[in-house]
Amino acid sequence: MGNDSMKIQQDLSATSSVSTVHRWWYELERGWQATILGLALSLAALALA
Amino acid sequence: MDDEPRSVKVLLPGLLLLVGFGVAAELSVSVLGWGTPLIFAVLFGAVLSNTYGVPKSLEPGVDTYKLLLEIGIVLLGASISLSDVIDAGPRILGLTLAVVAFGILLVEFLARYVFGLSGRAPALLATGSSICGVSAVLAVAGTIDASENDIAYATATILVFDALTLVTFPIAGSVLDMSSVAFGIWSGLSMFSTGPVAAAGFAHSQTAGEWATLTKLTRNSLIGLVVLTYSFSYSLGSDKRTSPRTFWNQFPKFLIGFFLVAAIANFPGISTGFVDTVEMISDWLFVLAFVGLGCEIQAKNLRQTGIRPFLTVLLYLLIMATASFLVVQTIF
Repeated sequence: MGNDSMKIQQDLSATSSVSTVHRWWYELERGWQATILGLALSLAALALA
Repeated sequence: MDDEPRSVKVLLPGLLLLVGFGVAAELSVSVLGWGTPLIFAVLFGAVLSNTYGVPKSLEPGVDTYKLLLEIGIVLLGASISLSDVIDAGPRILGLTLAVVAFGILLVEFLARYVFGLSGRAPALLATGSSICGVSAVLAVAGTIDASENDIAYATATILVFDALTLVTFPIAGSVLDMSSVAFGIWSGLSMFSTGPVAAAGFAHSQTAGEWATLTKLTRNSLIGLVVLTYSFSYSLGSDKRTSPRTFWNQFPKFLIGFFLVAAIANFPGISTGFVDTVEMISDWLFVLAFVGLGCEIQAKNLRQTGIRPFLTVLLYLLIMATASFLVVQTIF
């Protein structure tokens, strides 16, 4: 019973954390999204080169 | 933006459409042996939107083309030679300031005193024409309390000219036998929205596309200043107050990414392999984005455009394109 409750708590916090990140990303201005994704792709290309 | 974040599942069908048409555009160039994938991408999108229409279920994914375009522009920074930019920068900045300042005054004059438009419509047409298309219209509309009707007319007018200039500018550049650099700067100074500017530039040549985008980004960076000026001028005599924060709120943030990637690519010792890979990703993102851009081109916008806003912007474009052509041909 105690384990079940702990598992549910963990599941809930995981779900909430994903949705918080998702919401943060969604609310970010498009220009910042483009900057972050562009830099991430550039760094990936730099690592591969 | 909507209130609720969209899941990947909602975006996927539209994204697949962009990829499908993008691959078809690349194949068309290989099979036919002429043209550029970007033009085919715009063409396929426009044909779909003006015949069958873009299905509702695909719209969320297709709408991501604006983000794909901005990521493509951020990555285009890798193709930019900072020494060239530093060399041409003061001339481009000077020209851009002149075009924006003169352009706003010209459209305001034409709209109010030649074509008899009143209220907020001249301000919306002026910013849409002289800065960066629909996004500038919406940015200024929000700060001067423009009516839905004025916004609709101004937006429809700008979209019609985006479509017209996307076709006519590359033809004019070819007929006038312009160099790649001159054509890129001319398009970046004279056309309206960022997507069509980049598309027209790359239709001419890779170099023209890079200079067109760079020049257009310089123009875009002035949006905050123009919004601030309009906001201040319309708030005189009212209770509304404007602040320098407006400038930052309206500043296109992807410009920061563009210059960061340019700085990385121009760092001593960076391999050409890095630049080639980033250019390839950027090229693909542009192809996908231009399919989405094509889906936005709709013939019905022409019918929604009022004749007086249309004539105002047409006359502005003819004057501005001629003046900037003469200056660019002389300077570059």
